[in-house]
Amino acid sequence: MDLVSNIAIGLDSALSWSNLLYAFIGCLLGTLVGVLPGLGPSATVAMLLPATYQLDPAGSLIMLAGIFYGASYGGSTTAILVNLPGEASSVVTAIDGYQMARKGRAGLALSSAACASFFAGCVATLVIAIFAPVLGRMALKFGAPEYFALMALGLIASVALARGSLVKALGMIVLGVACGLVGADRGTSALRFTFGIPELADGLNIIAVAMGMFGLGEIIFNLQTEPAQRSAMKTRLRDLWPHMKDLRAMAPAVARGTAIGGVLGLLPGGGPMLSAFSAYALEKRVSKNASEFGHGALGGVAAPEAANNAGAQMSFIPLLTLGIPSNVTMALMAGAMMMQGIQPGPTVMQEQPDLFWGLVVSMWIGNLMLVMLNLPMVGLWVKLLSIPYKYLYLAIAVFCCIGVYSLNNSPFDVYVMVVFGFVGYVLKKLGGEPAPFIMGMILGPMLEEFLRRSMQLSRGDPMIFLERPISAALLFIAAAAIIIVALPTVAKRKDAVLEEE
Amino acid sequence: MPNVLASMKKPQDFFLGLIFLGVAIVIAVYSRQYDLGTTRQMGPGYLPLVIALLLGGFGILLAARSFFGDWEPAERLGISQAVLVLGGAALFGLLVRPAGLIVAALVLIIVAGFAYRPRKRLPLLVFAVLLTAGCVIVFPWLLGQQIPVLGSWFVR
Repeated sequence: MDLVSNIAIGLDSALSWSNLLYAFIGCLLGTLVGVLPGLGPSATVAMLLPATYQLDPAGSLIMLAGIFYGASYGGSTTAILVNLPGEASSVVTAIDGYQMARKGRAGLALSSAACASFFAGCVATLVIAIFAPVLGRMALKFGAPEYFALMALGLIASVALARGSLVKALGMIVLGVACGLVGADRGTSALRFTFGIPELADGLNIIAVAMGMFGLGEIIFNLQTEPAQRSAMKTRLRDLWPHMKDLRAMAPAVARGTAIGGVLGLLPGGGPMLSAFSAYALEKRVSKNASEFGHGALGGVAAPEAANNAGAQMSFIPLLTLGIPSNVTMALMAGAMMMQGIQPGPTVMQEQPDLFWGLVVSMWIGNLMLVMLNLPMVGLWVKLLSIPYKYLYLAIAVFCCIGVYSLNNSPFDVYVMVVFGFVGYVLKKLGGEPAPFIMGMILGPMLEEFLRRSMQLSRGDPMIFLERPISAALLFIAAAAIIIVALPTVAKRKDAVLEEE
Repeated sequence: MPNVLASMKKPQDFFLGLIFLGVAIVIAVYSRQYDLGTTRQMGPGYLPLVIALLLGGFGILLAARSFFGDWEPAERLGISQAVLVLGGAALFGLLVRPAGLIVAALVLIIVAGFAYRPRKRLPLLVFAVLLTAGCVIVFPWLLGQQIPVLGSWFVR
């Protein structure tokens, strides 16, 4: 039995004492940082990335995965308790979670978020274990046109749920692709847009740019729009465990959320955010008590949390089988892998099975640890949330600076962060969202490479994308997605969901 | 010109469109020095040109569209917070090698600290010292990062 022997390899690697310890430290640190308002999973991973440099490859990836899960869960805690989602994916959790907290059911909201995440994590781990080898074999058959089509679809998907106008989001993607051009061209190794600055030959560091836009840009934005009340409210945290009837009430919501997250997480550009939004929208439609949504519905917390976690986990699949990072966090993971000398892609599974399966098993262990760690420690996280923002933002700024400096031990990355902090702030004020920009920047260079190779393959004939069935299907879905999003009724409904936070 | 601007409905969209268009022009002009190649054998200048055309198109569309629809007032672009937070971070970058982490972090915290108003000076100073101490203990000492605690100005 392939599956059993694969999981045995994974257990062997993940259950060593040191790797268990790394998973635990990762979850703890991730939650600790992720729970701080304004710091989402990607900022947290970027900030804690340097802590894993010294470990061996398996250990460092296991710890990073732990940080990632911890940060996601920490972000949900903040969203529920203070209505401050750290990242787009927990925006929908905040809608009903915060309402539950205001009604004194914060404990129930937190524990059902944890249980929903855990269930979704278990299912997603199993799905990855069963299907990753199949997908990996399929990925080996992928040629340049298929990769190109998949990335185009990913970029479109990241637009689909950006706030506000479609033209702005598309423009932000193209702007991101333009920034991705800086540095040596991969195909011809010509230097582009370096403006005579030698540090730019390797391109702009994506982590420095992301930290500038999400970290510093966000701080400036928050300082201007700070709500009067930021402190965590006094909430009753007893009755932490859900009762049998709560569990029964949320079970279908969790199942639907897991299914949606599992499918949408596979898309590059999809991942947790798209999953959480779609799960919430669906739940609102099909739930028996639809009128409760927006006023503290249990399903409104459980479904997006399950989808969020399933989507987060499934987004490891495109990274590990195709080498495509499907969101900012996965790009950071890819960066960490390359720093350890591993080229993410279909070969990882064959050449380093202990690393691959160790990571898969540690995903499940990470989820288990989160539940065990978080339920008893909820009180501590609440304490942490009472740090006033006027001190908190300074700590975030210092951590961002130290984190970015440590990437290459170079002050230049700090300057890149400063510049993009300003750029991100101005663009956001004008309604340009940072997320599609970053996606464009991550996928841009790969998009160019695969476009160039496809054109060489077809001798300059663009029909190659339509002649190959897989790429034609992917491009068709992308075109359909953009038409659906552009339809006025859908656009209105999408904005309505986004406005409700 | 003023009466043209006065009929503008969405100043935010207009200025974002202008930025897109401006960047597109810079890319188009700057990338003329790169070899365009052919579609079959794309040179380093091929994609930049495509990007410039797309971005310029989106920019014009956005700017043109900003004259129609309902009036949406622009938000104020507060500059002082941006200057203090980003200036503090830039100073950190300048100081971290020559002066070291202690000085760089203190300067960053104090400069960025004034972005929040009202701000009392003494608590900020105390917080700056505590946070810097915490950073020195955690990052170079516990995590073993290669960041100088004291820079080349103090240590030979």
